[in-house]
Amino acid sequence: MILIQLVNGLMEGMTLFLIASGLTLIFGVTRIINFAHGSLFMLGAFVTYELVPLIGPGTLWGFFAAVLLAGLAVSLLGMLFEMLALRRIYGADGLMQLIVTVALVLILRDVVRMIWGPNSLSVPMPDRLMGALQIGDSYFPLFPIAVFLAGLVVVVAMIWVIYFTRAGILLRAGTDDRGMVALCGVNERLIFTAVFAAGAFLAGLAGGLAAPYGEVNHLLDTTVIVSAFIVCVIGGLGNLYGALAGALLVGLTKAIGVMYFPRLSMVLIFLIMALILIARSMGRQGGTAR
Amino acid sequence: MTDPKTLWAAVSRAALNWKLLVPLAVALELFNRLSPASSSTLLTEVAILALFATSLNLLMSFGHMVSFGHAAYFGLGAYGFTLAVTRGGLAPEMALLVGPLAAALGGLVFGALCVRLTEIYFAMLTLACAQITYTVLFQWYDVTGGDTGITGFMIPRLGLSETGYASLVLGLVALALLALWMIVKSPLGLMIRAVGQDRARAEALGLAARRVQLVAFVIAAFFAGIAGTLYAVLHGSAFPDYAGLGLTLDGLIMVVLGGLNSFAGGIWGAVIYEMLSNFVPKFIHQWELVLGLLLLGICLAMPHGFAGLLARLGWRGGKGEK
Amino acid sequence: MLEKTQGRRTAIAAAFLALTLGGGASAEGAAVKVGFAADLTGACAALAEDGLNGATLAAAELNDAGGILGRPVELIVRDTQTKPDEGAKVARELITDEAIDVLTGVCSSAVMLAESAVSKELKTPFYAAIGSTQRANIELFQPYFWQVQANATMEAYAAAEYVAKKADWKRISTLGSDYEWGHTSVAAFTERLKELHPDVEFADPIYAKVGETAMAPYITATLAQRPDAVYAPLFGPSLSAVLKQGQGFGFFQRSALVTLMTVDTLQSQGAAMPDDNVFGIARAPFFALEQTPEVTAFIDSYRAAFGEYPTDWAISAYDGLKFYAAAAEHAGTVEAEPLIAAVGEITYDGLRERGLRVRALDGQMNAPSYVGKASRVEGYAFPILTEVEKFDGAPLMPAEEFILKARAAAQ
Repeated sequence: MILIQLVNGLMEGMTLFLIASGLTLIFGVTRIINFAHGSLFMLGAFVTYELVPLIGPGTLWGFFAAVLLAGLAVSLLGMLFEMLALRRIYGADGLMQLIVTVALVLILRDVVRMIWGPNSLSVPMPDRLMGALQIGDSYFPLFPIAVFLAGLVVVVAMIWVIYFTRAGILLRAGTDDRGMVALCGVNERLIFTAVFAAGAFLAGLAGGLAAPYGEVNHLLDTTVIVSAFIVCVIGGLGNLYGALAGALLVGLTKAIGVMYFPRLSMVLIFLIMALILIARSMGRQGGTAR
Repeated sequence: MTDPKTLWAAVSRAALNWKLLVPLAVALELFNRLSPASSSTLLTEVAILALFATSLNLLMSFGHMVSFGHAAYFGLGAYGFTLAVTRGGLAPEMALLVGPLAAALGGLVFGALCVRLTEIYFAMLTLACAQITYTVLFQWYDVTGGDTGITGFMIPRLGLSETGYASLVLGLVALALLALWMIVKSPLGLMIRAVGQDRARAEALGLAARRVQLVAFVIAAFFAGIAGTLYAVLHGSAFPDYAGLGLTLDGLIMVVLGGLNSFAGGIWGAVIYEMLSNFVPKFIHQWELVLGLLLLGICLAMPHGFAGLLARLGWRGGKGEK
Repeated sequence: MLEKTQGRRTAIAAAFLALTLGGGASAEGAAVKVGFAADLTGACAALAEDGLNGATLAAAELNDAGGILGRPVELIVRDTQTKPDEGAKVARELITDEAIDVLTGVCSSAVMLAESAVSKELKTPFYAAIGSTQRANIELFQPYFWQVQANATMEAYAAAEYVAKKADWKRISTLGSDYEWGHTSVAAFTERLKELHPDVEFADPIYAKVGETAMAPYITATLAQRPDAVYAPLFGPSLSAVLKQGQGFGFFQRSALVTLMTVDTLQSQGAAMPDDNVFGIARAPFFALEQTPEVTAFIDSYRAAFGEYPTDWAISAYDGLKFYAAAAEHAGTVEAEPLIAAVGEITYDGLRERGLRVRALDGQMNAPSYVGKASRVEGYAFPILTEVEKFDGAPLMPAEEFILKARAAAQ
């Protein structure tokens, strides 16, 4: 059983990473805690719900195409939000920006509810991913394996963008020292908008990929935001590899925890974060660095 | 710090605008007496939340410590009081003291861990501590009643009428706010601000930064605990939600809306936000949408909060502080 | 599925109802005010809205037939946001400012207990039609309270009765949500099944975090116990997750699942519902009710008004308001004391069953529970329950001695 649980943990970890990656990316460059990240995730799930029956229903390519389109649609919305709202208050305290994203959470939740109603919806799985890989009497469901592979593709794509493209150089530079990038004559606003669009894309993508594996409703936003944020913190905010490690750690601990300390499930993720933060504070003075 | 001479010096230096505050107090009490019971209840809630937000504001505006888990101390106050009645068998009047002390104790334990970190990592550890508190309240059925909370253990409001309890709360909150104001103005307050503004420099000047931060944390927890206790008395109940993320977020919204770097920010924010979230849902089914849009509009219109707006308009309110 | 999106437009529907039903005898005088403090946002939103629809329809029909005691019925709606303190606040405001005659609408257990405390303090009748914690019947019972649906224990007993009849289910696992409802349900189910079927083997209960959506680890742990059937008091996202994620683990080939399966869950699962081995407990599945003229007329007018089938919550809320009206007519007044006395005296023929009564000792109605097998049937766009067995409420209600003992212990 422990083997299956490890696989379960990895699968959940990858889903968490997909959500957290966009969050940590946005924070790394803009220092904004995007509380609306969960709402963008939810929106991705709803857009996927609409697209799946239209694009090759039941097929593998149809599903992934729908998810990609959902990511792009959400990305567009994220970009608009950055340009119309956030950009106006970059001068204010970082917390004001957090509150603006909280406002977006409220708005999107009600808009989604007005369009799709309060009841839960169900996104069908692609036919080919319905079953399981059966080894002996152990079952390994196909769908999360596919999500895991899709997650790996995203990781590789991100590494490529970050290390081998000009956009990636600007991104890394922006994470390290915003002011310096601006001094070098790079349009800082453009970077912010681009990063927000990319982060929103990842959120929408994650929402779409997760949609068939549970229910889709207007409460999805709060379900994911806190755990996504914690994953980022465990890995060090702004650090993509850290987020990956944090996500896998959380996924694995949760899966194993079900076997050994089930009553802690509600608080487990917070305990992991607390322990890591305390360990960090013991390690050196303060501990703000990544 | 508690030597009477310094205390008095603090009061006199506080330079409160009494000409404004006394009529305000009278007006509030008159409103309370003349309006229907539910307005008194609303007034009570606004006052309690103003205290809660101001206790958070002490950390945020003056200590530059952003807490994502301040509701924990509100909840500990509420449960400290409630359990003192149900488990400890104390009379509710006596148990009133237990709530804030329980919150301060919680603040001491968690604060000692949290002040070792700074900025976002400090915030996240406060969140973890708060969620651990919430989980204990949520799952410890035999003691805390679990997710369905504790109700029916006392007559709400100590048996006072809505109006009577509102008067009591207004008075207590005014005293608590005054105490907080004096703390901000005292040498201790200066130390908190010094550490908040520039930790390294404060340490170079010989301040034990962490200890100062811990003291600030415990004070904030204590006053949040008073708010929680008064809230538990208001409803005659305690629920894990009182220590939940929702209230923490409400508190943050209040402080930021009201205006950071201003003592009155928490009070302004509590009044604005509580009014909105009380009246908007009453009239509009899609209240989340409307509240979100209003919030967005307010944030964009006054990026430095209500107090910041007032300051820009050249009006320095009775409790405004620059 | 698309028709579900119209659920929210209660106001439009109410206007529609007024138009279509408005021709009858008109009621006069001061309205009988029904305070509907419901969890319209938050985790209970979908249920609360269905409940509101049911109550809206009941109020419209009552008004069409001349109101309650010749007075029109008015619903005053408030949102508790699924927060107990907010619930207490709006309940108080409804009672003191709006002078409501009766309070209802609640879904979440915590909000229910908070509102019950206000009802007790302000001596205002309060009934629950969705939320079902029995703490409100037992240790926190107060005389102004009653509930018109089976409480959590009764539902779990019904599940146990059903499971006991399956001779080949010898090893049972339980997988519940880790909060009061989940724990109570598992305890009651285990206790009753042990009585009925002493040689059934029970595996250690497993509890999942409330609202958990990643259920794979729990599914794995449960199936590792090699059960013949799993009793799972789960709800909302966790339940959907088990139904969807379980298929990849061959859950429904390896074991049966007995869980809460109300009409809204059946609808939201749709095509994703496993083909076999899912058994649902329900409160008022419209397709399994005895199709009396009243029931078919109700289903028709509900569909006409809201564009969807009535869920269990809608039927329960509808029956609840109609029952209140019957009690008020019997008492000849909506005054609290005589009304409460009437609640304990009358026998009411509702949609779910004839001969519904409320026991004065704990305010519990002898409401039935239904258990059946989820199957696809011609004529419905979503799976429904078949081979449904109805379990009468009375034999499932906790014994009076048990309640008295539990109350004494809580003191």
